[in-house]
Amino acid sequence: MTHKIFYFFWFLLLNYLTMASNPSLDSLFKSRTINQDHASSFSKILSQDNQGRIKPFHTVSSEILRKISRKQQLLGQNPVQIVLGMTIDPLLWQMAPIIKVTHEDILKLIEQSDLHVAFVSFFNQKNEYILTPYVESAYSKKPIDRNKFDKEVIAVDERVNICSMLFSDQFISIFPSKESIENIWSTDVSMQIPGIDSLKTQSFKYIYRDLIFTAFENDNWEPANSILQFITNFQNEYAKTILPNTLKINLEILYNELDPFGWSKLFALYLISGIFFLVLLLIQIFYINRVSKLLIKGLYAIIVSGFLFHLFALILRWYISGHAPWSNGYESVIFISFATMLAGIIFSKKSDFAIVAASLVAAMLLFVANLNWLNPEITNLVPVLKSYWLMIHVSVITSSYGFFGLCAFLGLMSIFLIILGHSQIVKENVKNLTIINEQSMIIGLFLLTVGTFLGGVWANESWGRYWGWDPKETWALVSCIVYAIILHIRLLKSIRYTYYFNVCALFGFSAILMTYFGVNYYLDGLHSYAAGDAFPVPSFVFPTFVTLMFISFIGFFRFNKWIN
Amino acid sequence: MNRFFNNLLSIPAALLLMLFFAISIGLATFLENDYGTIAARAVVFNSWWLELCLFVLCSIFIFNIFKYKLHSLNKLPILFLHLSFILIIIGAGITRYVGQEGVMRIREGSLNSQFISSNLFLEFKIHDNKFEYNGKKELLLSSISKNQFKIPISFDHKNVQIEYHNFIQDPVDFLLETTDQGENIVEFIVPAKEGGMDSKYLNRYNQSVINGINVGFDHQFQSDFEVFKVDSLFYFSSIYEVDYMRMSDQSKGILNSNTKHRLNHKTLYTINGQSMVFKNYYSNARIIKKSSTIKNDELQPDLLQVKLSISEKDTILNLYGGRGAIASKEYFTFNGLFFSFSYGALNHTLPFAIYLKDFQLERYPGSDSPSSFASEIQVMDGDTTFDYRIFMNNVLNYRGYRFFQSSYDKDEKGTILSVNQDKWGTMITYLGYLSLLLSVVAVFLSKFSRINLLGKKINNHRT
Repeated sequence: MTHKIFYFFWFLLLNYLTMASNPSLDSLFKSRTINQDHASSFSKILSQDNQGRIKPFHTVSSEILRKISRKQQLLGQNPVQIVLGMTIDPLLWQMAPIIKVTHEDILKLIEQSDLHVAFVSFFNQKNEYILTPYVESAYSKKPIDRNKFDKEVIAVDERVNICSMLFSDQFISIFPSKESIENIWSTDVSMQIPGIDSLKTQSFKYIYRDLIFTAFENDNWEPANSILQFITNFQNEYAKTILPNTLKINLEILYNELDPFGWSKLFALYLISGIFFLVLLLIQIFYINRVSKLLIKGLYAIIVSGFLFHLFALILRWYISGHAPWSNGYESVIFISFATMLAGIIFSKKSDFAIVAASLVAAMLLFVANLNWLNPEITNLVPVLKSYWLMIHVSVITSSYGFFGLCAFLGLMSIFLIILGHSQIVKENVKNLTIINEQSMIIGLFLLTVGTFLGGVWANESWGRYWGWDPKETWALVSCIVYAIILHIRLLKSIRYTYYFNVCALFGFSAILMTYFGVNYYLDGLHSYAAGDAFPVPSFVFPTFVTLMFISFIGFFRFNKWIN
Repeated sequence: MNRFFNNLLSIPAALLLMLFFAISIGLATFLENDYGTIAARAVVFNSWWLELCLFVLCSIFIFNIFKYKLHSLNKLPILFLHLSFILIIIGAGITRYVGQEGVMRIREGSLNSQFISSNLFLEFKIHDNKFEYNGKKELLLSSISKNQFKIPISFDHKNVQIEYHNFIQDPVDFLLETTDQGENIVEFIVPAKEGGMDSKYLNRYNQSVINGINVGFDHQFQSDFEVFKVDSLFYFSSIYEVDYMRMSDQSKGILNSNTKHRLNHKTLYTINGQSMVFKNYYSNARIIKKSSTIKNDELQPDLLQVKLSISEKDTILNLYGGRGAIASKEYFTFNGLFFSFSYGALNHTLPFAIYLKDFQLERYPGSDSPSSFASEIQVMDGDTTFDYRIFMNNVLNYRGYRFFQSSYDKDEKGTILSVNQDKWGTMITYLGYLSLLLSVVAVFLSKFSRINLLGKKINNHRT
């Protein structure tokens, strides 16, 4: 890896490094923060990304920041301030803890403990990039053979690379070519300003940098603001025909700021109101009163308005991008989530549980979208992992987890009710819950099975093998079989069917937990149980399991009274 | 008997078998984690009993179609749902037994029409001056499976038998000091590939490549680095100049080439850039092969030992081989017959050739990380030639063979494609997926499906 800029500034960095553990670094970040108003004017400047799309700097910077730190805000600054700062003031920002690293082994390699790490931490005393051997080893493996560590190394390396490109100013292409509209935009352009030192008049970047540093000192941002007009004029002169109009730019910024599909908006709304709704429905089994009815109506209205917001956001995205919002994996997931909500609202006439299930599934889908977003957008890394099939198959499988989670929850509820009593009302409700549980399980099993096989299609289109007994797919198949067995229990025609089904729905979920968490945890290939490595079980697992077993056990005897 | 079949084909039996299947493959993932993919396949995934389990499950289902009258119109979606699983299992069977998988390497500016199989084979040839016998056997060997095989051949009125003897994965030399019939052995210490140190042994009157240097120990022919034993003292002579560093006093120096020098202990010798230390001499020892790993390192060759017997006489053959490489053949004569044996991948020839015009590796600006790689190739099939670009997610599909961009040579001047020939297996499996998808939709639409019947029940309760 060649970080030219890095060598160039090395001697200066040595001075800084002594300050890294020093509170003066914080004050330096404060005194060298780009003014909010200036950042907001710069956010409207158009920039070309590496796929040729022209978009406001606002979008570029929030994509970059999300990519490198998975955040929307850091150190009290917004993405525009940070990314602009990284470009203009690389020396300072190379020491800012902005690069997200989650894998413990990588953190150990670079001797860090926090989840956000400074760029300089990736280099050792000899100024060598510490990850080089690990990156090489990860890339020398076939994608199918890479373990979790390899994938993490690749992801972190990509983040470091993006930072490196920003620090050497290779990222922010804001100047169209003078020769042809088709040419790639450049990051800098020469400009002549009469009366300024002729040595520095060669480059816009130098002048801009000077103005910003002056503004850091005297807090007068007027000159820096006014130079932005130069970029706008330049773009209008050489690329007028391909620039988006002001309305589009403003709407795109609005869309970014709304971040409708982010963690805090639709996802939170669907998830939280879904859970509340569910709890209310369960309470309603025992007493129906005006308050709970009113609350349910309120929640219904909230979910429907969330749905309308979802629709609005899709239309907004459609207008900004200029194409229907299902052209790539991310868009298809948010669209499927929309479709799920639509289905839920339609079916809510029959049972309120439909809308609850739909909003929980929609939340799950948005969860997946948020996990993956952006990787396809800035730099396409190993395209095989980012294919259309992958997104669909992951989201279908993940949404099945939502249904199975509901099954386990309803199963536990039913066992509690069985323990509580055997009056007619309780019996009626347990029967109803069991019916909903079974319906939910059927939907979940269909989703899981279809999703698993879509994964086969993805694997076949990516590396020519539709089934390879990879731990993840094997465990997905195990989950399929487990739930298939549970759904066939009714054919045994036991008089205890209601009880057995609910207990199985509860414990069957452990197959999902193994598939989703266990495989990453136990089967990463780094542990060898045959060689005597301990089998690490999180401390809460055993007590939880014993408690649930105990409850089921009591339920078994209480169920005797039902039969009699 | 009838009762036995009725029990075997019952629903409880089916559920138990499904549970058994799920537990088996679940446990197999732990085997894979510890012992490697091949071991998990040999013991569970490719085992006869897992196949039998699937077969019985399919039979049970077909039997129960009639018991539960799934062929009636109302239950048609459920029938198709289950039939699609049978289709998928049939497709998987075809892939397993008919499909071929392999790897094809092409260098820039060259043509290739061969690929090497992913599966491993024992290949052998027997001949005398009159007859010739060619044989091969597919093998899936691991340190935890039984591995047994026996191939009896009647060759020119002689009973030849090839029998499994032993399998040692990722073998390393291991020195065993004995009291009788031992040999004279010297031990050198060289840096290991993954860091750390490795012991290398050399028998007297033998020659071997140690750390890239051709070393001989009282060997009859000239070696690059020769070791002599004179009484109880050791000397060496090298065709290169040798740097030495004595560990005790850190003294350094250069020793002339083609001159006899004393070979000292605890001294680091650097010959043509490669370092080694003379560790020890054993006057009565033997070298045996031992496995160095629990989990098979697929990049390292494994050792297969087979017993070859011809009417009462037998011998043990050592065959080295592993994934991704054509094994080198061992030629020898035994008991009056000529043999060649090898253990490794097979060479398959395509009915056409592929020419690599250019291999392209794009990197992120300012870094060595690859952002994408692609092969510009030309397919040459008799009179037909056409250009194609193979890259991730862009597969070449030609005459039933599919080519995927898999990896590349380290010098970036050659491509590695994975090759897959499994038209029918893939097609039937995909048909199964499609049928599955359609029957799932049909289940939701059908008035008589369980999920919609349940929906009605709940409505009844409400009113």
